[in-house]
Amino acid sequence: MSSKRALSSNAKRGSQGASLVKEQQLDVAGNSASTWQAWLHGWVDGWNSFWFSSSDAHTLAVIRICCGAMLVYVHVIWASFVTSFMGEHAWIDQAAIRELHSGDWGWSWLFYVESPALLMLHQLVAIVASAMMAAGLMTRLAIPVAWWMTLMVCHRMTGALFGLDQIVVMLSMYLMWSQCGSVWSIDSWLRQIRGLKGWWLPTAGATVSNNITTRLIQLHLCVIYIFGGLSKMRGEMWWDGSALWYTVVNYEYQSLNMTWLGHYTFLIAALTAGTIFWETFYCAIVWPKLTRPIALGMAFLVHGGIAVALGMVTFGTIMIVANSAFISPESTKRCLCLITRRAKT
Amino acid sequence: MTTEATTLRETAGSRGGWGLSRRSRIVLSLILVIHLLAVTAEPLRFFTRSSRGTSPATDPARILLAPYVEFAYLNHGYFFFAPEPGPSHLLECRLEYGNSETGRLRFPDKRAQRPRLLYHRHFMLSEFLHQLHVPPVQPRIAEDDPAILAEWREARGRYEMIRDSMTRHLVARYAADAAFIDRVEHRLPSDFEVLTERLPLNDPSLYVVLPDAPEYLPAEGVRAIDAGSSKRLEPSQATEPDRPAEAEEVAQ
Repeated sequence: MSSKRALSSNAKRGSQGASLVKEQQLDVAGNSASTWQAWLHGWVDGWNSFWFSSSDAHTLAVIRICCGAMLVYVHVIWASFVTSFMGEHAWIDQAAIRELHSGDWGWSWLFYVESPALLMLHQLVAIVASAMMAAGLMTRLAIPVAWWMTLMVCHRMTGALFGLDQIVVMLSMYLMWSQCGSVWSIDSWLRQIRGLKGWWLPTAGATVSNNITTRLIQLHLCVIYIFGGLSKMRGEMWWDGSALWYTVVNYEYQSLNMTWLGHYTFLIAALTAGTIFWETFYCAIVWPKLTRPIALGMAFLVHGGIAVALGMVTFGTIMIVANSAFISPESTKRCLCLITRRAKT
Repeated sequence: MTTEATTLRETAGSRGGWGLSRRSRIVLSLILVIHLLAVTAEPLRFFTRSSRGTSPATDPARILLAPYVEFAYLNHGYFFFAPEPGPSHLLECRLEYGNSETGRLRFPDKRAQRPRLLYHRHFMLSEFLHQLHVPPVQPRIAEDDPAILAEWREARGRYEMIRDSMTRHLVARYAADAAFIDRVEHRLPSDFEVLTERLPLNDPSLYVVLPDAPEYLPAEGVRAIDAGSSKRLEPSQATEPDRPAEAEEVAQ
């Protein structure tokens, strides 16, 4: 009887133990599921916060003004020599440009326009739209028009383009989705002072579209730099420290004689190494607040150097402008308010 | 982390606290991912290019997104001054007039093309022609391999089309009877040449006229296969060589 009791108590204990193990297993499974869920939620929240937070338009407004002004300049130069570049007897004539693009999707209506008057009219529209973009007048319409006209010119002018064109098209393409015309613009003046309302006036205040635009510019810059850096990593000169020398002695680029650098071999090699490492790791060091000033400071020095010494003022300037996307709208606002106050005093 | 995330979600409200509905966020996220794929597709393919072609891992995205990438002008490799800073390439142009006068022009020219952006446009055009250049091949080699022949014919045809367009531009712009274009390479001097030998950066010895055909090719039959057709031409029927005699003197 007692052995029976003992057996039954043992069985009871055993079943209790089994259920305990089961419970523990369930707990572990539940914990891992909840950990997994928490991780997923965290990731989704991070994604949402990265893309879909609202932000002000002050930094984008600065980019809009600079990019618009640059586009005006670019189109004025095209317009000054419109027949040489796009006319009947252009460097690359219509038959040639159509053939060049016959296998791709790079299409432009300028493939079919030869009349100098029409070409000039095209450039005039591009200049006016770009000027409106810079001034912030009817930006909801002006920026898409400026982007489209520039895109048409870019497809037509294959062969005569360089980094400047890539960056202005990229910036205008992103800016047209934002409310960058809501501050420091004629649009904001019309809305605030004149009390005008309408769909064509950009939304004031912080918006999600401003944030998405900023993020796209930032990520696009990271892509540009990482591939720029990795491609340089393939070259011997970037490793042996002579690349900077061979850049400054390129007579066709040179606008400032920097050959004196050759007397300081350590300096020239260090600057070469600094350039390649900064470019490759830009995408990593530009995000943490601690290292961001280093990434942006280097960008200012490198692109400033390109602008001053390598004769590409336009490209160097627009790259510095694009890098400003990493400056928060609040900092831009504070900075410009400070400048305005100082100018007034 | 969990608490933070939960708090964020709780305070988020019905629109998720991000100013957009859940559905809008999902749709926008998809668009953003596709766009970022398009931004990276071209540089990735460009970067993986070798003599064996491009990486099969990068091709699908680039091919699938080709309409968007190419139309939105996102098709860049971002290879600035890479893999190494190389020599510049210029256009040496010779113009001929009916009264046996000749004129010479060089593109780009810092003094002639101002402002700097205009100069840079001309500089890019001369680099573009150089990039397109494909030398003529031995007719025998080309005819032995139809694939090489087809590839070469297409590439050579493209180069000649752009060169001829540029030539026509020069004739029309300067009212000349004929124009000839040579590609000139401006070699980059070493630090020894510049700092010790005091060689100016634009010293004439640094400019080399590039031949259209490699020197090992015989003069006869170099252009026997025309880019537009596989018809074999007699040497006497071959078109005029690209390089005028004067240019050869400069090269020497």
